[in-house]
Amino acid sequence: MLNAKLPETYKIPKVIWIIALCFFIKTLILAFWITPLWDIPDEYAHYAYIEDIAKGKGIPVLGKSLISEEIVDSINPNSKESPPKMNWIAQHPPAYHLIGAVPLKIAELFTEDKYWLFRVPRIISSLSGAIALIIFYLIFKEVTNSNFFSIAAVATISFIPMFSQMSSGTNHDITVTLFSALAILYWFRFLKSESYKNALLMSMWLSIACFTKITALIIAIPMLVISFFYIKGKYKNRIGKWFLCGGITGILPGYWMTRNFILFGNPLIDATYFAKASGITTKINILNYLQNQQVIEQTFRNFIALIGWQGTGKGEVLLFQVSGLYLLIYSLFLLILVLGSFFWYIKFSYKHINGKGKYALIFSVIFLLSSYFLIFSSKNYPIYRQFLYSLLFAIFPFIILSFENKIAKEDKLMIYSLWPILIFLISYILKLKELYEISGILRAVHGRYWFPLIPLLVIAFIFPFFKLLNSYITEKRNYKKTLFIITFFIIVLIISSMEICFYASEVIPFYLKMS
Amino acid sequence: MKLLKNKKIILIILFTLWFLAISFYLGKTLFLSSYAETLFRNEIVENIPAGEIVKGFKIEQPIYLPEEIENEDICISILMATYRRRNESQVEVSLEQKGHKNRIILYTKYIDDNSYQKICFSNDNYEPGPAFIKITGIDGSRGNAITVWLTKDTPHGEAIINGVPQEYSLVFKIGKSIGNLWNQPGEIKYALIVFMTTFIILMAALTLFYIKENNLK
Repeated sequence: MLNAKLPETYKIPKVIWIIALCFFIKTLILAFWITPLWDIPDEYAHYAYIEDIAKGKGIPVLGKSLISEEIVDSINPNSKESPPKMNWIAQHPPAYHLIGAVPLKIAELFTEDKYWLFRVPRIISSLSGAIALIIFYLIFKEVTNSNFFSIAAVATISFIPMFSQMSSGTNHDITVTLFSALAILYWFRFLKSESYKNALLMSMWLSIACFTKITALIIAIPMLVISFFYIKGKYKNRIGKWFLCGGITGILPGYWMTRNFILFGNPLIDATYFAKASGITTKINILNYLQNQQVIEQTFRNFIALIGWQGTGKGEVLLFQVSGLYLLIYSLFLLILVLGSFFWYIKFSYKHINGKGKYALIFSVIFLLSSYFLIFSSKNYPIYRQFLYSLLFAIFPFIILSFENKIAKEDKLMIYSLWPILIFLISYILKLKELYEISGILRAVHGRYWFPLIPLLVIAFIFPFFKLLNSYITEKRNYKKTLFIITFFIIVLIISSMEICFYASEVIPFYLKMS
Repeated sequence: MKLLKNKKIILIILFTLWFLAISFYLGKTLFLSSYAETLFRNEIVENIPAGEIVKGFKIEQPIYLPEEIENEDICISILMATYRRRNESQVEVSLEQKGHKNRIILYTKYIDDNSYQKICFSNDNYEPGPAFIKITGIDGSRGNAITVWLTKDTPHGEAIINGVPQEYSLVFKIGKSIGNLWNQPGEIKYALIVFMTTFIILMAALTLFYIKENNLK
């Protein structure tokens, strides 16, 4: 009954609740009985952070806080060499760890068994993942106004092996995804309705997301800049309202950066600061870096699945990536979807050829050819993935259409989605390049860093294909429509089935050290 | 065209076919696929290919069979590469110890590039201790033969290629056969069944949604 009063885009259908519930049960099962302890990236360091808070030691200080002997021993009791004891995760702000301390504190009332205590904070990621799926639905519904697309997209995301894997572990990546998704939801609601209340809610969630992982600031900046153009009111009033949004966004990360400045003299300090102090950096040209290192390929593969960490290897990092048939199927489906979206963007720009469309088209062709020939064509992975990555690069120039006035708002939302993605991509590449310059190897190419951008990636790179196909279906109850539903259904069935097959045939044998 | 208009029947048929296929695949993975428990593996360090395993090409790799194998079958996994092409040739892989030898002929057609190939030998007369893996090309020719990767990590000794000792070893794993996934101790198999159940419920709910959904906006 409550739903009856809400706008159409606020209603959550039953099937979404079922998807979220099934995801929650699945990830709880993974968390407590399948994913080995400490087999999630940085898991024991995140746990140590949570434990410090639960024990009343306060927020750990980077460089000073240590990982307890008890945790170190649990990784491998027989090991003579201990893993590094400095808690490098203390570089991150504490929102996730403050929440994670709650289940740990409650569990301590009922048990002293470390099997359960070490695993219990994993519940927060399971819960965050399940709620994030519901928020993803609301975002998709808001932008696409299609139940059909939104539900299929949410179901498919719930079966990305890495998304499930991270939702079964003690790590802040899924929680920051949830908070970012809430910020994105209110961003789109604000852009659509221009109601200032939504802008304030967006700012609040952005602030919380940044207080979970400071990298959320990268997506906050383009979101805030675009929001400025949609704030109503006269000049002064508008600037005032915008500064209020910026102020709200900045409160929590501002607190964190001030703390860092007082403690270290650097507001954006991270664990590499300690590496820099002891090592030599070798500068490298960005084009050479992209040509010689598989930055995008490894990120893409790790986004789908990078299984393991230090649990199965008992202190030694043991990992495996998606490969073989699974990688082939994921890549080919994505190639079809992105290619379809690319055609939609071309068609759409052509419509606006007299305006900014011509520039978008010209730059898109330049980006497609230059990224293919300068970066991807020389790589030793299959040509369809070289083409897929070039296509992704070629979609960015359509961002120019943001400045075109004669575009319907729902189309503008899709184009606006490209801004946070582009800014994040640039920051990601520059940060990885910096790490490369310090260590001399390709490091931290983690697809999970991209999880907070999942809704934007779907809207910018996949939804246009759906729009393209839909534009060919005008009549009701015709065979084209049924064919369309069936094709879409088959795609969802196949992509969704990949996860369980991957777990049964590769992940679980890996955990059990079977080959 | 008439059938295509009846979305409900098509979706139910598709769901049923999918359900049968996925049950078959998962059932096969759980109950029929045999696995080995890895007891030893070396690392991939400064790896190079050994060269095409053409007719007469021989690689010998000393290995050490661990005691944990007991009486189970011995499974050796070797990292192979196909030069990103399909090679239709045959390779003999044998496990030799003190004059006792078991051999298996490997058909290279379906080998994936850069993947470990698991070869299990029945443990009729092997003992813990030194042994040899021998790989011999049977009928391969240039452009139609696979290769194996070599690594600088050589804890079991260096490989000998066509009689010449190398500074490299094969990239390999030694394991013992432990049967199928369902035979494994612990709760993981029950957890996997719950995982599968949530998946099937979700897909059934999605099918029902697609049957009802007519709004294609």
